[in-house]
Amino acid sequence: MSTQEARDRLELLQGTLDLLILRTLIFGSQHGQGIARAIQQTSEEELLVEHGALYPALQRLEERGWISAKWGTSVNNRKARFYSLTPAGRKQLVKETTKWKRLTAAIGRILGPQAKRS
Amino acid sequence: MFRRKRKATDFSSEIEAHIQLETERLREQGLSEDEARAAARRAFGNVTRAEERFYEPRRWLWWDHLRQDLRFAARMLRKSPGFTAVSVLSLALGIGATIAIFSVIYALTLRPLPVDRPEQLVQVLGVLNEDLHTYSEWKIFRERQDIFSGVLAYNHSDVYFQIASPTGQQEVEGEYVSGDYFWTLGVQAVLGRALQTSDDLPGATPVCVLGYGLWRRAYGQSRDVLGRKIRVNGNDFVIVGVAPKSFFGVDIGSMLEIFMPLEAERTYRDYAIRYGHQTPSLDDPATIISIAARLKPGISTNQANAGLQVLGAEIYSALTSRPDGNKWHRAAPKSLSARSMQNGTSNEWLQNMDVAVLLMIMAAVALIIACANLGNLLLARAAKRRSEIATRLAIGASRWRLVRQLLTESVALSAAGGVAGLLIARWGSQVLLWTLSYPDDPLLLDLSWDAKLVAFAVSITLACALLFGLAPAFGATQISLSSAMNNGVTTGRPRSKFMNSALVVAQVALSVAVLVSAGLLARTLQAFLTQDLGYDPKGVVTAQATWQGGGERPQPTARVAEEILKAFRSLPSVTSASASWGPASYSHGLPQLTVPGPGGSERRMGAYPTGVSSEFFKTRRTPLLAGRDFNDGDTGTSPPVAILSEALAKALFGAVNPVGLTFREDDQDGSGRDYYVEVIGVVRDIQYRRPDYGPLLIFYRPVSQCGCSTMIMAFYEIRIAGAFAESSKRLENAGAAIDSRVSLKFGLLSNVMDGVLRRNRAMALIATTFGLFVALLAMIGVYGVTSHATAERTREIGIRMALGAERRDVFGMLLGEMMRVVCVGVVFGLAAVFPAAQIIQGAIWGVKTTDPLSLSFAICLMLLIAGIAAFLPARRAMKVDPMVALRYE
Repeated sequence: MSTQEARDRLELLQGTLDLLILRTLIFGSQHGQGIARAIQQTSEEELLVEHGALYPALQRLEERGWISAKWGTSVNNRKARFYSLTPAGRKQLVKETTKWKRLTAAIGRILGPQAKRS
Repeated sequence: MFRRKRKATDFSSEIEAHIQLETERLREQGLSEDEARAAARRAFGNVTRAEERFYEPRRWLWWDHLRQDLRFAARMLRKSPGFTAVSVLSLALGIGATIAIFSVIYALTLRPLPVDRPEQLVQVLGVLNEDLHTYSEWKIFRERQDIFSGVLAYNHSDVYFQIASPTGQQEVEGEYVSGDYFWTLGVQAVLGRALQTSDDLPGATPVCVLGYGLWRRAYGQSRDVLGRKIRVNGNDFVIVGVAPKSFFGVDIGSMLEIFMPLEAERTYRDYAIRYGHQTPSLDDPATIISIAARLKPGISTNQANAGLQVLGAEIYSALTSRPDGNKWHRAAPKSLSARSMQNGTSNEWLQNMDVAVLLMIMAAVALIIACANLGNLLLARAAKRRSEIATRLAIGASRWRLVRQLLTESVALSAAGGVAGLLIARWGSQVLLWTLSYPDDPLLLDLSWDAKLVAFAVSITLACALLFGLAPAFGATQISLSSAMNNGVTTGRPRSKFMNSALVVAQVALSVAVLVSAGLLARTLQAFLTQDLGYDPKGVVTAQATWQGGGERPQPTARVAEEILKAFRSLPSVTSASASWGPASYSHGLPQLTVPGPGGSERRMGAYPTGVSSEFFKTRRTPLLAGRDFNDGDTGTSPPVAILSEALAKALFGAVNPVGLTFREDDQDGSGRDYYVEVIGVVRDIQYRRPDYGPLLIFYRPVSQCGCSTMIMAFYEIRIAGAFAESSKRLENAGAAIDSRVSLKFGLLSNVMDGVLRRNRAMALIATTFGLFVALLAMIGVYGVTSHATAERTREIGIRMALGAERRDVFGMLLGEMMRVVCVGVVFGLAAVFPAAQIIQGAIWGVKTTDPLSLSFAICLMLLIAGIAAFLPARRAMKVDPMVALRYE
């Protein structure tokens, strides 16, 4: 993956990183690097997640009580900090998802069907 | 919920783990170890930034920054010890003086009484809208009132009691109070019980409550004082309780140490000892009582006033319709009113407020000038630090962070000044109390720190920091990076000339106003000192006699007193000696004198009585203006005679020579006897109090004629030839030979007036000190501005000199420019003298506001100081080498 590739990717909108992290954790606990990979892969490499930005976001979510963390061992036997969704985080995810869907739908209506493809 | 704070190292190791994982993943995709690691790092972005973002939201950050800032500030301040010392010292003096004066003003007028809900307390005012009441009035008031939830009374005059306690005989300030006094105030005893209504009944066991101070001093806070007896003016009182430490009564400025029931006074009738021949009983109109009350919840002072008006009229008709009603006409109130007593009563001391306010203004002026100077010096320093600041900005410090850094330096400076100021304030407020006190009536205030005073001190300190720190902090960080970095050493953006001039004008103007005020106070003192006192105090020794055991047996003591006087007179070094009741102004209550006026009318006036022996005027060298002095022929059985003071003779008899005429002295003791007294002489007015109050109206009576069976001649005045120490020793021996129980306290008559004028002396001294301090600050200010301005103009001076200007011309130009500004300041200062003089009007006497000596002293001193301050930088500028100055830039 070259710099050229990275430049073509979409930058995340403000505030969406939290939503993506919560969404990723719905399948079970995961460490930071795993979350970053998951977001990139699930978005078919369209989204650019700066790994450096991920950790402060994880920290923020943890402080709000939406995710919890503990140190564990990764599949290839490395020490890593694993995050998992709390019940409050699950609720927040539902709320944020609904909000996001309404937002994109509204913007989509304004931009019209012809703008969809470009 | 308490979650353990996550450590920064934990966060770092998580990031490390991430990079490891990512590296491994990339290696699995076929990259080499190094490539994989580099790519992983690249994908991660700035590790430090992520760590900072983890760290920053934590509240610890500001603490970290503060610690860094403080450390840095301390380093910067240590690096320039001269600057630091001058700033801390001037701030300490300014802050210390301000807090000291404020704490006294606060204690006098703002601090609530240390009692239960003080906001409900009111003073009840009667005759002449003053808190002058009589005991009979109080009894009716207490019975009939239903306006208040509680009422109380106490005797108004400052009363000192001779008490005999385990630690010996001493004089303490105390009060007779009504039985409901403590209950109404809501003050509980810290030991035993407070006085109660049953103590204040005729015939009750005589009990008393000790003040905390007396309990500690005389009984070492022993708990077994309860039930013990204490001897007060020769009478035994049983101690039933101890008042709280903070409680000093309701009169601000006094410190009551013993409380006794009002009725006990009737039992003991020790009035004879304290008031001399007048001996008013508790029921006489001459006995003054103060009344206070507690408002019912929800009742306003105005609502209470409506009720009081009616009650006052009722009391008046009740008193005047009594069999002895005619003597109540003047003493009974026609109406009553209430006034808030939340902060206590302090009528007497409030007249000193003008002085305190003036000193407060002076201190504030000094503090503001000190801040202005510091601001100016900091600006100059900031200019020198431009390249440092520019560098910090360039490598990414935020401007706010730098402002905070610079402000921290200011706050650190100010806090150091504040702490030193507190020490000065502790000492200064005591000095101020001493200044405001009269020698025989000390002003005692509760100066302990409470939340409000602490808040005042802290906000003053912070306000100073902002005042002198804000402008330099913002000014210094507002720089263009490139220019500052490029010519690193140039001084800052030239400040506007107007700002510099305004700073100097303001400082000079304020200094002149303060100096003139100080001058006026000093001249007032001088006017007092050169005033004709009506006597010659030089060479006169005073001796005040006290008898062990108080005045228990007045008859023999009067005889002893006379024998002592004879013994004094027989000593070889004594020229003449006399005895008296003491200063005429000590008298309580004024007897009314009456003379026939024109056309069958009467002329009445009150006058101060004083009893003197023969040779009183001879000893004082007070000229007899007409008639004769008292002599041995004036005895208790000969016709009553009096000598009038000049002022009284004029007031009573006008231009007529009063010698041989008589006046009537009204009955005061209720015996129904009026005296007809013949005037045998007139003497020059003697100044017993501050000259600006004018001479007292005094009539002197021979001690042998005026109820001296109950009066002690306690004050001796002896004119001696020889040294004080030696003579007083001889006098003491002579006194002890007559009666060993007599103790004599010696002094100099010249000290009496010094005592009276002590306040004026101290006031002039404090004001002058302030004046010089402010002038010194102005000197620093002028120096700072001039040297800064000169440094900025180095190039201009270089050009001028290169073009042929003489060194002398440059020197003259710089000095002249500064002195012109100073002169403008002087003019403004003179204009400010008039409002300043308005404030201290009460303290100025015998000089006009436009007193040429005070004005010219202030102007000359200011010009001299400013001249010196401007001279040094101007001379430095004169030595500028044009070549160097021009090459430099």
